[in-house]
Amino acid sequence: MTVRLGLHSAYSLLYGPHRPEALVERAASYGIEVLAITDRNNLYGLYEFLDACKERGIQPVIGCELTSSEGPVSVLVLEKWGFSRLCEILSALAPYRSAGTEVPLSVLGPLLTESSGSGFQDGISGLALASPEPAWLDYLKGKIPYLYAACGPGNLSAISFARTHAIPLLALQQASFLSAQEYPIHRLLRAIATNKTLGTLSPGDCIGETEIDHHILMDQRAYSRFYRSWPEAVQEALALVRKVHCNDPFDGYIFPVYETGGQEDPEALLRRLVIEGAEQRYGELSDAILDRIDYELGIINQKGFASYFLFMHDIVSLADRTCGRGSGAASIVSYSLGITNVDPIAYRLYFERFLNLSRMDPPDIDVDFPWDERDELIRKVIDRFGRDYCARVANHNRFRFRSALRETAKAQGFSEIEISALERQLQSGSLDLDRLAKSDRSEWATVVRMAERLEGLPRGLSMHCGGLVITPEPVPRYAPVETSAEGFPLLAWEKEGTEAAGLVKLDLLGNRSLSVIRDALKNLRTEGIAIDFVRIDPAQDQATIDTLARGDTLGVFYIESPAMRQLQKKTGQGDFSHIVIHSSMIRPAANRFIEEYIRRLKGGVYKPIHPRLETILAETYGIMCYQEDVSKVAVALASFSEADADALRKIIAKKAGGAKLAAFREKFYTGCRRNQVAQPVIDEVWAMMLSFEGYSFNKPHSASYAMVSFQSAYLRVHYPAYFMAAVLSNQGGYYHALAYISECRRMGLTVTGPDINTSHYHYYGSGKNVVVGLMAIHGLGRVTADMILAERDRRGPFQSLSDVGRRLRIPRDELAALTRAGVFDHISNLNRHPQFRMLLTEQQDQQGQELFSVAEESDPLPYTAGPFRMNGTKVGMAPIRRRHTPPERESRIQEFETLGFLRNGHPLELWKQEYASIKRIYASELSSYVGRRVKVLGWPITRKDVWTLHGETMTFISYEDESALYETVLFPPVYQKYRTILFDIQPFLLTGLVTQQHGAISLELEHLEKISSGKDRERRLLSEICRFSGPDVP
Amino acid sequence: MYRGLPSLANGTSAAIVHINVTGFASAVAMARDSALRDRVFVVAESRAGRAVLLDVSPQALREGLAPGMALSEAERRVRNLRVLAPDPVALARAGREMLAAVQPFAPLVEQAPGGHLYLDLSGTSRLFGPPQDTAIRIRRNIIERLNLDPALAVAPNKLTAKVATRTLRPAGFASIRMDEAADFLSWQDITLLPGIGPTLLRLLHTAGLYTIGDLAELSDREAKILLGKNYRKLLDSARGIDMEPVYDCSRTSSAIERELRFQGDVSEREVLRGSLMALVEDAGMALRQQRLAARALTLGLQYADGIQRWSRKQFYAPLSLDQGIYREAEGCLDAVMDRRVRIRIIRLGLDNLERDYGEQDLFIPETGDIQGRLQKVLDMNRHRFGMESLVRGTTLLAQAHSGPLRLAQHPIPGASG
Repeated sequence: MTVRLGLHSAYSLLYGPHRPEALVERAASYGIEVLAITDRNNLYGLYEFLDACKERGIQPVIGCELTSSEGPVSVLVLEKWGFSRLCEILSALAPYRSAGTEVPLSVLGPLLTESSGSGFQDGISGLALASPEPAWLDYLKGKIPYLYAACGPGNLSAISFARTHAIPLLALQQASFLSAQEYPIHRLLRAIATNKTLGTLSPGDCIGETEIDHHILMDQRAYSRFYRSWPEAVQEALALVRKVHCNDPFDGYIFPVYETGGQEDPEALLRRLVIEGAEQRYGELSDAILDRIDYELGIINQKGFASYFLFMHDIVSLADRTCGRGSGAASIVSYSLGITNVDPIAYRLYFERFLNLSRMDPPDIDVDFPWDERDELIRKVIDRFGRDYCARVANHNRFRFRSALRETAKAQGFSEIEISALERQLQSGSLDLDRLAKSDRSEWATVVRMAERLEGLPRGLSMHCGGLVITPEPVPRYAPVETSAEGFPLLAWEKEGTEAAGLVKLDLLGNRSLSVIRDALKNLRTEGIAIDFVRIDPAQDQATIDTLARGDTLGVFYIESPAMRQLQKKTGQGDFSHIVIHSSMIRPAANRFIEEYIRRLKGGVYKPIHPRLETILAETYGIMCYQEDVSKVAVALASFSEADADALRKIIAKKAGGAKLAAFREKFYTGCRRNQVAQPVIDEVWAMMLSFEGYSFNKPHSASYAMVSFQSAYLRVHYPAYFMAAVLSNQGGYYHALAYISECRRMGLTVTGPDINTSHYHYYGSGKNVVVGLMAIHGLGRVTADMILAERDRRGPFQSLSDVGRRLRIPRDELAALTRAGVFDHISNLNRHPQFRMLLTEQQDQQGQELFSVAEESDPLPYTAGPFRMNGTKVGMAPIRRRHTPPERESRIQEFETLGFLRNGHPLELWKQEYASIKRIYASELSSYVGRRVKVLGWPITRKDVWTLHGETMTFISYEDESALYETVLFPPVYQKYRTILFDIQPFLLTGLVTQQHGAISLELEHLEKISSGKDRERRLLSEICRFSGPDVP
Repeated sequence: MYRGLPSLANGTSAAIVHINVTGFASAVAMARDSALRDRVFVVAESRAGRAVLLDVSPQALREGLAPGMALSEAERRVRNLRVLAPDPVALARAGREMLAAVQPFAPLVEQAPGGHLYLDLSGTSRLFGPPQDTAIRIRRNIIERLNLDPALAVAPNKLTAKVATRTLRPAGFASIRMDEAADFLSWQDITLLPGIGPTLLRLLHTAGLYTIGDLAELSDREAKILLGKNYRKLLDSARGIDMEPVYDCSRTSSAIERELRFQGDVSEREVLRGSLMALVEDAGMALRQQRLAARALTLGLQYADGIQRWSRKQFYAPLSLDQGIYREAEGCLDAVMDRRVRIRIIRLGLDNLERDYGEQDLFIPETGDIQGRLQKVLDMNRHRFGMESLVRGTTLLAQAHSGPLRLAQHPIPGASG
């Protein structure tokens, strides 16, 4: 048996240049049968190591190297309880690692020698320790059952001590390299880790140049030659490996059993809750429903997941509004428990996609919560189940090419400007590496080549946005735990590693539209209107369906983007099943199938790609639409097994690519050929499959999203003011506030405020009015806003500017922001400049006096325009000098600057003088001009750049004028001509050809012209508000 | 209300000239390289985070780029945008040349960074004619010598002259008489008043103040309420009150300064140490030849992207031997090497110089101190056979990496005496 212990992979972060697979592969080629990768201070790479060993038929030994101020100690796992102890030790050391301080012997020593006191079998007996440091050997001797003196290339200092004290030698090589050529990568990683350049690396920062050979993985010959003086070290390694009984600590799922209070077992409780929930959802339960429930519960109980559903039920109960999504939405059990909101029977969602007896992975239900409640909810969950029993899932941050290139160049001492220039050349494809290598910029070729070597290597840990695990015993008994930057307990592993460890993951994610729905419903409740989406099915509401079919979906969850609205308009379909299809169809890699989909939907004749796929894809007009279609097609055409088909789906969805995808491609092509599928069909189907790369949905997920879309669309149709106010309050939709404000006006709503007496902090609806919240005012802090609202609640509305001055102390800059936003317009008939000066004076006059005396309160000052008081004396207002711009116009410019929109009217009006004489049509009339060239005013709303097959940029821009929002396209020549002005937010006069496709109107732009003020000062004022901020590019 | 510098004894008012080369960095770049004249380019220094445009060429301005814009934004707007790193050495050189162009006419010159000069021409009429004529001659001189066309204004005080050049940008000439200065200022846009940033401007606009005159007409109390406790200076400025004299920038103290420009940018610590040793030995030699000792040193690095870092150290006791100076300089080097960017120039300045009383005649070895004696032997040899006759190993190592080290004597920009 050939054994190697002590290797370091790239999970020895910013140290080792190879991922575990590469080390394992090389070890296999050397005929090594047992391998221990012992990364420095962590087990981050455990999953990859075990997976690679399984693939190569190598026996893994789990372990890690713990560094300390007295040198390293290697810890090897013999038993499962030893693994638990190692996880506990790593968890205990995490604070030192994150602080970047070396662990002293006085801390690490007791951890390595003392029992955890956890009641588990003594963890120390399940571990073997080895160190090349006499100090450690001296400390550990006699205290632990398995102690070795590590002996390997460059590590011979412990031999004499070991012989003196009868400590067995252990062959252990701290190998990080496969060849000496990798040394520069190691130095580069160390320079990045220490934030130095290669030139300023100190000798202690990295392995010395003369010691490289010590760290190259030895083949069998070199190994035998090296250890011929210490054959006992090799023998001990063999003997040690025979003591290892834990090559994979993960067996089965780790999830706590739900505490039912002793009344009934979890399975019985689950059934009771499901039946109760189903009765609420369906009313009287039919046999079909009961059969489905029993079928699902049968599988759930057989797989032991009853507790999982009960926990999810508890978690969902912590929030008012959730959206369970992912394949879990295909379950009637989830639906009945309120975890998901789509009826799987009505919408034909198949449970087997979620759980079946042949699948090995645990259930995976992602649940969305309102975005502003998510973090608090996760805290509640952690409090509910105990901080020691919960941990967030990690993300392993890896070098992507761009970050690798930047870091490599920095380590070489190149400046940001040089790096950016190189990046541009690489992006534009104008850089030929071979030519570069021969030029006087050959260093850059080295940078690029070294950066390529870094790509994919791990560089650190961060927190996954929503993944959480709950364990029956404290988490550190199952996995190492650290503390995230946000203060949460954080697992060492990301999603795949967590799942592989058997830890059942709950995904609790944030969703802005759930907050929108919540806020709109809450707003409605204050007016006595109660909407319950358990009782109302918005998918059955004809008005909602009609609205969706017209693409009037600004603000509606997931289907408000220009691309989605255009698709809605083109298809004219607003029913639930089509929205489900469309939500899944609009994805980056599937654009080319959309036109064909519309053609078929409109009755265009089509032939199924292959007869075997006719039924499978019938519902989506013969086009692969959902993730699971990949699996179904692989089974039907290439006779894949269910498991392989599912693996293929996962690989494509994760954009994992590489060798695994290539192998599946081969298998798919071979399978198809064996089934006599024609070559062009195979190519076409494979291309369709690849369109699911990266971002794609399965049907239950799409249906869950569609239900949120329908709920928000229902509110938009029936309670528009309440809905739009909630959209504006929650910000961060697809568009900025101006677009939604304009939409409100187009919907016939009245936008009022912000106002000192009517605004809340957030926007709110009232009848047909949307009242702007104080949150819209840039430059106003939450503290001041809350102070204003609290004072208004306490003592009633403000009567006058004097009243405001007496009752509030508002900092000068915030007072200016409030004035500019027109907050005081309704309590003063002055224009805003004197308003501000008066408020400042009033506040100043109150300083030092006791505020709000009873006498003053009962005698509020009626506001009179004109002179204002100073020190109790009425004084004339300093005259404002004659200016070119009327004050009204200046005030509106300032208002726009402060709010991002105007209280009344469209910002285009600020340029009214300039465009008054221009002959143009209104955007609302575009449909009457199809095929004709028109001029129209446009304020840019959003933009999406795309690249043609030839790599040329073109863009789709949504503009609006006073009458409508409309879509335009700029083909590459027009884009090139006008690209420098496309970034400005300001009015344009647009000339173009009106086109219509399947009923959707678009303007093919030919000419753009900025509309700007002829007057210098106004131009400057207006350009101040327009400068530097282009339309959003999602 | 308007007040400038005090009238002179002969009854003539003060004549202050402000010269402003608009877009100094880009103007200097274009003056040095005529191929840039019609090009779209920007000057930007990259920092770890967000790079910002420091200056833009006139063509770039027309493309919608402006100083203060993020470099990434500029690059989005203009494909293949040419980005020049700031060149402090070229700017310093241009600054010196500007100074040289005006000094024959002005007894008192103050130089401010970014291509600004203030000249006090008060009392020069009998020598050169009216200040306006002198100013025009100065402008011509600058154009001829530097190929730069500045904005130039004559006014009774610095503030008015500065506002006047801001109204002229990019180039031109204006003369504001004492009796018209107040009216001139009052009608100018308030953004031209020095000291008004975006936040303050928003405040002033909210109060309806758009011109300098609007602000000037506020009462003291109103101004205090509006502008806060630092209202006085702004209000005075708005009223044209500026008593600030032109500071003479020709008063500099003696220092020994050396710089070394690497043939290619370097980042190796050994090269920098060796180079530093060469600088210390050269400056130290000059120091000892003048029988001086230094109480302070300034070490500067100019990185490849134009960023400069300085470190300064003052000594408890004056130093004159290479070893002591090097030890202090190395500490400074470690302190300033805080960026992961290659280094183009290393500079060393020894200042706070005083007579080295501890030393005897340079050529008479007469001390029991080994270091001192060794230093004297080295100095004697180098004095006779040249600096290259004896080279330290650290310097040799640096030369092995980066070729021969060529030292230059340059004043160090930013290093105080």
